[in-house]
Amino acid sequence: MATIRPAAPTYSEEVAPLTESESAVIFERAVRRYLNMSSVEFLSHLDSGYFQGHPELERRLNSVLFYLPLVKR
Amino acid sequence: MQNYMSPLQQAVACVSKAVLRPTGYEPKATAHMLSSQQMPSPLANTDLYFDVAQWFYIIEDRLNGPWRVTTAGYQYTIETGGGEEILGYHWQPNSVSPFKDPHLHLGYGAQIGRPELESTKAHLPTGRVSMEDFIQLLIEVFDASPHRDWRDVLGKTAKKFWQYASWGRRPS
Repeated sequence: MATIRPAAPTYSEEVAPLTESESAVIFERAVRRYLNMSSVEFLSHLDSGYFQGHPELERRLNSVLFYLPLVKR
Repeated sequence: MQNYMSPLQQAVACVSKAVLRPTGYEPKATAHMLSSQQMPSPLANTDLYFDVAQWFYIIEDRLNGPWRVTTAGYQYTIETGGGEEILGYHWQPNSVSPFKDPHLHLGYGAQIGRPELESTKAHLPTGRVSMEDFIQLLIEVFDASPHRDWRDVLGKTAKKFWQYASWGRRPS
């Protein structure tokens, strides 16, 4: 028997969801706040493994990584 | 969604004009975030700033459904006007950190003067911390100026939170 999925939750007209550009702004702010660099620089460092050589940044890195899915939806 | 978002917004509104917004309302395999563009937000009556954010999933609830929200992580922080973190309550089960349980960080802004507590490895274990607990801390410890009915608001929203929480224990 087919599973009938319920309809998606009702969209709230009172609180609009964050757009991708608004989410990117939040992420940019988090990167500058915790690591004092731009999000472009951060993502480049992340890809290059830069942070593996900087364990002293681990805590700040984790705080930024918390926000990473905002730009990797 | 309103059952999830509304109490949190009411709690935050006790000390700030920040508006919490989700990244979406649709169920999906990856988590949504609830955050505010105004974060870190000035803490009323102080020279401090605070930030609250949660990740959450929208999942089917066959018992009381059709849907419910389940929290997937949180980060609540308070920092100085200069951006030095004083403390942060974290639960980041999906992080790369080996420490997955809820914990507390003390930052340089706390002026503890103990390097081992301010180090990146100092994850001080905690139980689950609700956003209401954190807002209450901002008011009672950091002297944030709340709106008049804050005890009533936080009492009601915290009660609702712990009523539906699938894990953790309400502080007595």
